[in-house]
Amino acid sequence: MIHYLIAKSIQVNPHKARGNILSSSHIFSNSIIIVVMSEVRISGVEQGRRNAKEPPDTSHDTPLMTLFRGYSKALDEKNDKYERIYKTSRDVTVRSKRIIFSLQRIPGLAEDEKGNVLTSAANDLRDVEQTLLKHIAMELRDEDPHQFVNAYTSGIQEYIEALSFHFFLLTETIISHNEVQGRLTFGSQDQTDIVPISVLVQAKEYILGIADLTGELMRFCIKCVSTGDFEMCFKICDVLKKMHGGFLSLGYIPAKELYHKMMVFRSSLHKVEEACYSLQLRKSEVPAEMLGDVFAMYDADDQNVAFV
Amino acid sequence: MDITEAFSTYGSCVERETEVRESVQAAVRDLEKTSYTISTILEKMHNAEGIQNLQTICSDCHAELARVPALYEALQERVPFGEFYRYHHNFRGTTQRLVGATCLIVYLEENRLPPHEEVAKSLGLCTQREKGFHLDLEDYLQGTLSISHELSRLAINSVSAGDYSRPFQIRQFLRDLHSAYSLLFPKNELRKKFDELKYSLKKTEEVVYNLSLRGLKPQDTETSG
Repeated sequence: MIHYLIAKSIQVNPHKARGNILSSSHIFSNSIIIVVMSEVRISGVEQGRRNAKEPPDTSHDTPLMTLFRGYSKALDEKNDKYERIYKTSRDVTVRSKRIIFSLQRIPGLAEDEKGNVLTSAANDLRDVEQTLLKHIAMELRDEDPHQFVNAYTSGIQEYIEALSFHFFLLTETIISHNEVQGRLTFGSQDQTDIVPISVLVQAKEYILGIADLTGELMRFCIKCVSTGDFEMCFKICDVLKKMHGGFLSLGYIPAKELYHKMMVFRSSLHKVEEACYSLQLRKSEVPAEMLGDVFAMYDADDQNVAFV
Repeated sequence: MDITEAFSTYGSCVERETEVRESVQAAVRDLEKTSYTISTILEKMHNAEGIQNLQTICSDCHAELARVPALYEALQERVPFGEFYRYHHNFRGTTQRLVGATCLIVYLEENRLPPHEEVAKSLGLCTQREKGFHLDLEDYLQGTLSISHELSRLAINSVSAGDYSRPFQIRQFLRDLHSAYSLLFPKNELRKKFDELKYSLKKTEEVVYNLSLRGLKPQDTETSG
């Protein structure tokens, strides 16, 4: 029988004022391995608050420490709120992406199926608003939203992408900033004295969300080509050209994320323009019913495929 | 809805924000000048003559500090109401430096750490966002931590200047600061600054050790810690 003890390490995390002694003793006796872990309180310093089931012992506090207990509470409240908003924002991102995927299945579906997908997406969007986004709005009530905007900005952008995509499929126009903000402002109609809570959508978030939309429109357009909905293809090309003009009108763009998205948008726009160009050429050569077959093999995300 | 309208609205938003930001930065530059002037005055405390003349240094600093509330008021006028945190990163560093300077002066005069409200008041700020332009709690905490480096330096220079009691006083002060800060759960930058505090405390304890070893500990200084 061989016994040997391996003491791993003594880890002290002074921030939490607690010590972990992790030791593993391998007892090779009938192949039993025992790992022991215990916590040790460092004398003179407060026990880690996360473990305390009773309120911490404040009898040895200096006046400075009493003061800092108050600061600690305020700091934690702010950090916890930030964390909660961030986590909710991640959920918004996931749900929004799912909605976008479902909408991308539309090309090629029959009219009634298409209607179902749109309705179901509308319901999902409303659900995201009423649960997740409303939750963020409640966290932001009475706070300066700019303090927390980095926590929710990516979720909001993804949501705007999904919302505007759905809106476009219904109306063939781009949703406005005011309408987006309207959907993220929650106040009862009958309680006019209560200030409505909302998730602040800055112009920047709106523009970034719209920029992402261009990528989805490009993919949708290419799918339309391979399923035969050529009219939609031209419509999308038109809208994208207008948006491109809009971006150009901004001149020098100070935000680097916007700059990057512009680059991606440009390549999306070129793909769509080439698709329309090819369609136009083929229309003159081939009867309409066969055009779908000609383009069926095209893959929207393949960089190397040329149409003509 | 016309797309181009959305973009022109965004364009004018960006322009407006750039204007506000530049105006904020101009106001911050004035605050910066004062903050560096105070730092220059405080630097004298590390000289041998300075250590004997802390009173003068502190009163010179007070003269400069007196100008700060007006400068913050000028800054406040340029930040649109309700957008404190939108432009906060433009003046956060300066505020922390001013907080650090204020804490250092109070330590030199009274050997204590001024609380959040006191520092805010001397800078002409309030402590709660709802009441107006305020001193953000994290700015206060970070600014306060920045003095630990200066104090450990002062401990070393005090010894060089022949003042053997100050290192003990500094050690006690830093220990109290450390136990207070240990009650927090800091994140990111605050956590880095907290690590610097530990390092400064360690250096100061080494200074005290070197003094004690050579029997240079003054008789009337407290021995426990």
